[in-house]
Amino acid sequence: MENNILTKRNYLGILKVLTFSFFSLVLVVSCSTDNENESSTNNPIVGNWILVSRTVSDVPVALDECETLIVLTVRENQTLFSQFNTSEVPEKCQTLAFFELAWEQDSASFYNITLGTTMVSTMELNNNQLIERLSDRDWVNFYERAE
Amino acid sequence: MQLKTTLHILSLFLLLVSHVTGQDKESKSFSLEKDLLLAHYDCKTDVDDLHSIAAFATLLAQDSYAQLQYHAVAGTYGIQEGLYVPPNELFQLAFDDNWSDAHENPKPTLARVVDLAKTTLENHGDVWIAEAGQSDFSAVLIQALQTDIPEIRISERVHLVQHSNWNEDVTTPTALKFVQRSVDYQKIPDGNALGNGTPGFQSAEYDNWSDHIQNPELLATWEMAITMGNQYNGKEGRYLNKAIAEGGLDFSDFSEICWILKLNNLENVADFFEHYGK
Repeated sequence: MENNILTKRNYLGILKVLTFSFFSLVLVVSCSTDNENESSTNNPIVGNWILVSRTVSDVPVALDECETLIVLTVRENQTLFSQFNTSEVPEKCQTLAFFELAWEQDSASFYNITLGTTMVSTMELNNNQLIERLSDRDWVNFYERAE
Repeated sequence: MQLKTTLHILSLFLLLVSHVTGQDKESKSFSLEKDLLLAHYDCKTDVDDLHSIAAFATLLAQDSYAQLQYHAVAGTYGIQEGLYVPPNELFQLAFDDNWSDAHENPKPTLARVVDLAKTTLENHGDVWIAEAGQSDFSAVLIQALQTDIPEIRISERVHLVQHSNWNEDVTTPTALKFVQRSVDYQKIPDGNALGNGTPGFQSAEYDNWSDHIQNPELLATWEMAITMGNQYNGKEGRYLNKAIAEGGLDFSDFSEICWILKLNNLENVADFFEHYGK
């Protein structure tokens, strides 16, 4: 009889520990999931950007008409992709090539942009302006957030 | 002692293997039976493309290249500023209907070239691009091939030959990186200079080409190329090609076709007309 009581007590104790562990685990998992979402969703680079100007060797140059119709989308899943922001794309722009690129945060406001394993550029987020420096050319592209 | 000998034998074996592998890669040759040669001309803003077109037409007129499968594309320019050199009349004379206009009709041109390239690749041939301009058009072409025929290794079966640093510099940066990593990209020495491993096809002095060209159609092609070259050279902000301005010739972009077809016997403009003029 006493053995049975002890067993029952043990059983209740184990159940309590298991219940506590389960809820702790749920709490930890849900907290960590929230944090991950928060970090990618709230990364300030995520969003739509429009190329507004360019310098080559520090000299401002005019943008091509096709380039002014493009919106750069930086996604939460650490990819970025360009597409036209209009359905009325001029004939001469219709064969532009767009590439799926990847981004990785390097430091607080700097990001590395790659095509596969090839480094394409670095991007700097500065006062809500995105500044892209090409890796092997003296080009700087300036983006502003799309409305 | 035994270990040293074994290591020596092993390193010799590895050296031999790497040499043989490298040789295989270098020695991939154009197959006249199976392969397709795409000749891409930017025609912006240098007029040297016009002379290069006439040079390619001269080669195509040789019996030995009668079965060469090719397609020429006009207007494969990149991001350079300046005016286009309208070449359509010359393309028609040089290539009959075996060419497309990416300047006026980019989408139909892309569709036609993708179709030709796919047919070649699906029939076990390779595609060779002589990039006489920038690689923006090639980037879109390669992207389309990757999407349409993912089962074919584009990186091994499409070869792109480029001779000019400037052409690379005025290709959209990401497009250049894309083609360089996606296909067998071969950068060769500049076809404007002599003695660098590729023929030097620019000469301000050479003007007796008509002594060699006997085929009336080729004569007409060269006359048109030279007339159009003089008409647009340095005009309305276009690049001034000094060799052409001095009455000479510049078909430096033809050096890529020479590389692809392994025309190793040519060194300069005079060589070209002596070998292929008749």
